[in-house]
Amino acid sequence: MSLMEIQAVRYTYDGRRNVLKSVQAGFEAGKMYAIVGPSGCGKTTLLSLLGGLDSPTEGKILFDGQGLETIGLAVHRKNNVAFIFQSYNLIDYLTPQENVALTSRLPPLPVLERVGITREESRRNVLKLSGGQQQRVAIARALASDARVILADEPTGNLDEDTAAGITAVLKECAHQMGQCVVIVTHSAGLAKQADVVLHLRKGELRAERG
Amino acid sequence: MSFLHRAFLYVTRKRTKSFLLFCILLGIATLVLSAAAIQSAAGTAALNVRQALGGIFTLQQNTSDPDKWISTQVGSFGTRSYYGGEPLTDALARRIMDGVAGIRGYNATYTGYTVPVDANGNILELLESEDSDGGLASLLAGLGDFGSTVATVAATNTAFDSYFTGGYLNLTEGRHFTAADENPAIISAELAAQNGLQVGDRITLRMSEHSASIRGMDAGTTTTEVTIVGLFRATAKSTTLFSNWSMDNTIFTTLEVLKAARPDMGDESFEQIQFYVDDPGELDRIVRDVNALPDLDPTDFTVSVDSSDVDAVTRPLANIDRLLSIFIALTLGVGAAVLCLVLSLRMKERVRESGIQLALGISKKAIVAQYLAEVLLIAVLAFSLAVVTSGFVADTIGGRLLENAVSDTAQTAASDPFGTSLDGEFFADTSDFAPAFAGSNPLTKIEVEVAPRMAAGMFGAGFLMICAAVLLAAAPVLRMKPKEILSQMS
Repeated sequence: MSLMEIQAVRYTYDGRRNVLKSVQAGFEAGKMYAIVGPSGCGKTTLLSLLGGLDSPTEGKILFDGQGLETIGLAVHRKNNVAFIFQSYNLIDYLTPQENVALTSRLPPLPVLERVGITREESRRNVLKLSGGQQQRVAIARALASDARVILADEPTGNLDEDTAAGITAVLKECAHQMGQCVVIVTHSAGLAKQADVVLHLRKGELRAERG
Repeated sequence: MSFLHRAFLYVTRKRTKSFLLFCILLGIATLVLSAAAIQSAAGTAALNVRQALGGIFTLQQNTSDPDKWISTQVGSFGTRSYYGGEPLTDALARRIMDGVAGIRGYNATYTGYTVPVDANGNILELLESEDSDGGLASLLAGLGDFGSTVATVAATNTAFDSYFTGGYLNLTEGRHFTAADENPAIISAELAAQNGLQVGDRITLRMSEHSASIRGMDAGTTTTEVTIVGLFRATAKSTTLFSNWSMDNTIFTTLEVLKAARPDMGDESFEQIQFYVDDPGELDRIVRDVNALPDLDPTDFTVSVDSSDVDAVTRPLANIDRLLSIFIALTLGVGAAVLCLVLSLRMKERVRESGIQLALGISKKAIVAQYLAEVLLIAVLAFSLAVVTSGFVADTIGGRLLENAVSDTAQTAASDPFGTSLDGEFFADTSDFAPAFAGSNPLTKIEVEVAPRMAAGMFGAGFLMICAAVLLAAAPVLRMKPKEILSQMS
């Protein structure tokens, strides 16, 4: 049974440009999904709709069988989903530990250690960490929120191969061992290969390529 | 993590930005609080001036109206004219006080001249003034004991006498008297010491033999015994045309005593009654009420109120008050605009942070609360320091400003016909022979200080201004959807 479901979702910019045309999809817990497609095809928009950052022009998005409008977008963002961004989006005046503690439901330090951030690093200024370390902190923030859905937008886009592999491993672990639903938007064929399901978005339509 | 915790971390970690905001808030608060303190001091100064000069109205006979004068034949000397309107009596004063609300007390006075004599029948040894008598003493020397007369002030209540209320005379021993006392007298401590007198001793007052003889009277029959109930000391130097009539030789007593010692006064009543009001601001209303009393003919009297003089005296202070009101309004307006601008720039810089927080499920309310808490945290420190800095600024600038204004005020007061003369001398009595005191000028005592009430007001108004500025600055960000913010971020 799908944890999240997209039902006939249409999304237009300025009421004219159709980015998503009657998109239909289901996302199950314990699986890692990759959404791929050319630039500007609406991948990030779809992720935003799943994360409750925006509402579809038409159609419905369900979480656990309930419409997001019913749950409330802010409540959905707070309780059900966690974001990982390409540009990390950490708050610069907080330490890694404090960034994780922002919306954490779990103790921040063990989660940071789980993604490879040491105690000493967790107390540094977040901007003094490398890109890979910052992305690990962003992932730790998502994990510590204990959300059932992790939405990642190009999580390895700015990282070298080895670091990207490490991040991918953590995300897979979240899906397969922690039972979370991980949805990744990516251009990386390597990352997409690691996903259980690959969804291709093209000309506003979503098709499952594998899964 | 609570919004307060985030706010605290922001303020302590973004030190340059926090310091800049601190300086802006400190500047605004110092300017406003200093101005408010100076304004308050100006208000207090104006009130002091009003209370010092304006809390009195004086009732005098309307002697300028010829219809009010009555002439009678006196012995073989010819006619004697006297005022025919209602006399100024203690009963009249009491009627006015009982009939009009807001009058604290009154004193009716009449100044005559008598010869003071001790229990042994010797004329008291009078005090010599350091100033020359301008030839008057030598002129009077040929008039027998007329040269030994002293100013004798008949009063109904010396506690309300202008010299005492003005602080020019201090009662150092004994008590004041009222019209109800039987044959009381208050003399100067120096005169008492010169003649070995003290409170409780008796002296007599009589008409001078010279005056009695020209009126065909026997001076001996005018001898009236009085008991010394109090001693006074002058707080300032006084001068008179004739040194024996100086304040140091003056005797305060009742009208009954004076009339007994000076039977030639006939039916004369008091020369003036001075009424003291509770609130100088109500003088105009009180005078209107006095004139409207049903059992009083207003044409019988002239009422002189110094409120117009007080207005002139307090004009420099009123100007300062007006200027400071404008200054405070401008500072608040400009300060609010600067604060809004600075906070708007900060919000723009922090769009990314707002977007991240929204994406993490932190509510818009919590985000605004954090921004507000940050500014309020800084404001608490800035406003607290402003209490100290504004105290210094207000004391330095305000003190100088007010000193100038009050100096103008004192100069204006010096031209006030009631009480003070052009050269700063004080007359409670405007007759030519009345003692004149060097001005003690209590009006210049001004303290500029930041009162707790002002500080509390500044905290309240400042916090309100900050709330409005934060909401205004945050509004554009808060109107956006999280996705729009995140799009801006990317």
